[in-house]
Amino acid sequence: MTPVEDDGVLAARVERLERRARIDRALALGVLALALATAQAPTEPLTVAGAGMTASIQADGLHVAVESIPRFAAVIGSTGPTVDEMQTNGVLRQSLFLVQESASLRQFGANGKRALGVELALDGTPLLRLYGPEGTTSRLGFEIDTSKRPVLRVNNNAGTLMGMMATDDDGPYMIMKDASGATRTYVGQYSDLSFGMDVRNASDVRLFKRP
Amino acid sequence: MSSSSETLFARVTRLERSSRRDRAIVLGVIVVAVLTAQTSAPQGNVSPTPIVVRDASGMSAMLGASGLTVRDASGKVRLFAGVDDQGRPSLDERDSTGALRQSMYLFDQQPTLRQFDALGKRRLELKLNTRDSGEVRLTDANENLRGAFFVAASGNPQVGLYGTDEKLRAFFSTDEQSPYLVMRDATGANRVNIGGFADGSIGMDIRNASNTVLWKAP
Repeated sequence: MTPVEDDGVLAARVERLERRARIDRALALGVLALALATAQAPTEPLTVAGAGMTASIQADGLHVAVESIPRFAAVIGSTGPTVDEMQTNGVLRQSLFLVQESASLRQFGANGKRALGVELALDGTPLLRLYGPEGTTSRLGFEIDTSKRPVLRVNNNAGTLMGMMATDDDGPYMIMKDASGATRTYVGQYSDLSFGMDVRNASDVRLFKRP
Repeated sequence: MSSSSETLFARVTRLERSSRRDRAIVLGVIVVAVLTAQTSAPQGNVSPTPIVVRDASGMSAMLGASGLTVRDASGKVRLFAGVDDQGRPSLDERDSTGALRQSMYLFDQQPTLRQFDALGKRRLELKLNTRDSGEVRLTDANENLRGAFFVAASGNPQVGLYGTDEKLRAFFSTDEQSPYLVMRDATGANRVNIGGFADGSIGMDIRNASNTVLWKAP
C-alpha cells in the first residue's frame, strides 16, 4: 500500500469507528434512560376488573373491591402493614395489623365495634380479649400481666375485674370479687405459701376458711 | 509513514479503544436493565418479570411469582402475602426495622398465627396442633409457655397456667362426667382439687405437699 492508499484506508476506518461510537453512545444512553425510567419512577396502579370486582396493585399494596366497595386490602396503612377484610357494606370485620410496631389480630362486630383481640401489648406481653358490645370494655382476658403472671380474668360490663385465676412460680390462686371490688372468695396459695380457701364478707372479714 | 498517516493511526487507536469501552458500558447497562427491569403491565396473562407499582415516596408493591411484597419508602419489606422461601403459604407483617412481628402461615402444614415482640421472641400463638385441635399459647419474654387454651390428647378442653419453668400450676378442664379445677405447687404436687374426682364424686379438697388431704368436703 502506498502512503496515499494507507491514508485512504485509515480515513475510512476512522469514519466507520466514529460512526459506530456515536451509535454505541446513543444506544447506551437510551438503555440507561429506560432502566432509570422503569426502575425508579412512580408507576401507575395496575388494576384488573371483571364481574363487578376489581383488584388493584397500588404502591401501598393490594386492594380488592366488589361493586366499588372495598372488601379486602393487604397494604401498608397508617399504622403499618395491615390486612383487612370488610363485609358487603364495607365495614371492617377482621384486621391483622401492626399498631405502634406491635402485632394485633382484631375481629369486629357488624356494628364495627371491636369484639375480639389477639395481640401483643407495646412491651410485648400477649393478650387475648373478648369485648362487650360497645367494643371498649374487656369482658374476658387471658394474658400475661404486668407482674409477668399468666392470668385469666373476667370483668363486668363496666370493665371491673370480678374474677381471676393466676399463678406465680410458687403456686396458683383464684379470686372472686363483688361489684365494689372486694375479694369475697379466695382459693389457692396464700402469701405464706400455704394452700387453702376462704369466703369473706364485703368488709373483708373471713366468714369461712379451710383448712 | 507520513505525518498525516501518523495522525490517523493515533485517531484510529483512540477510537478503537473508545469503542471497546462504549460497548462494555452498553453491555453493562443492558445487564443492569434486565436485572432491574420492572414492567408496568404483563404481556398477555403472564408477566416474565415482577410487576411493580411505586409512588413518589418510594413505597412500592411488587407482584412476583411467589406473591405480593410491599415495601415502605425506605425500601424495607413490611408486608408479604404469598408462598415463602420454604414453600409455605404465608402472610407476614414486619415493623419499620424490617423485623418479623406477625405471621399467619402453614407451619409444618398446620395453620398458625404467631406474634413476636420487638426482640423477635414468639409471644402468642394461635394454631391447630398435629391432632388438628385448636390451641392458644401465651409465652413470656424467654419464650416459655405461661398460659394455654387447648383441647388435650384426651379430647378434653383445658385452660392451663404455667410457671416460668413451664410446669403446669393450674388447670381447668372437663371430661364427659364433670369439670374440675386443679392447683399445683412448684413441685407439681396437687394442692387444691375442686370438681369431679376420679371416683365420680364431686367436691373439693385441699392437700399438703405430701398429698395428705387436709380438708375435704363433702
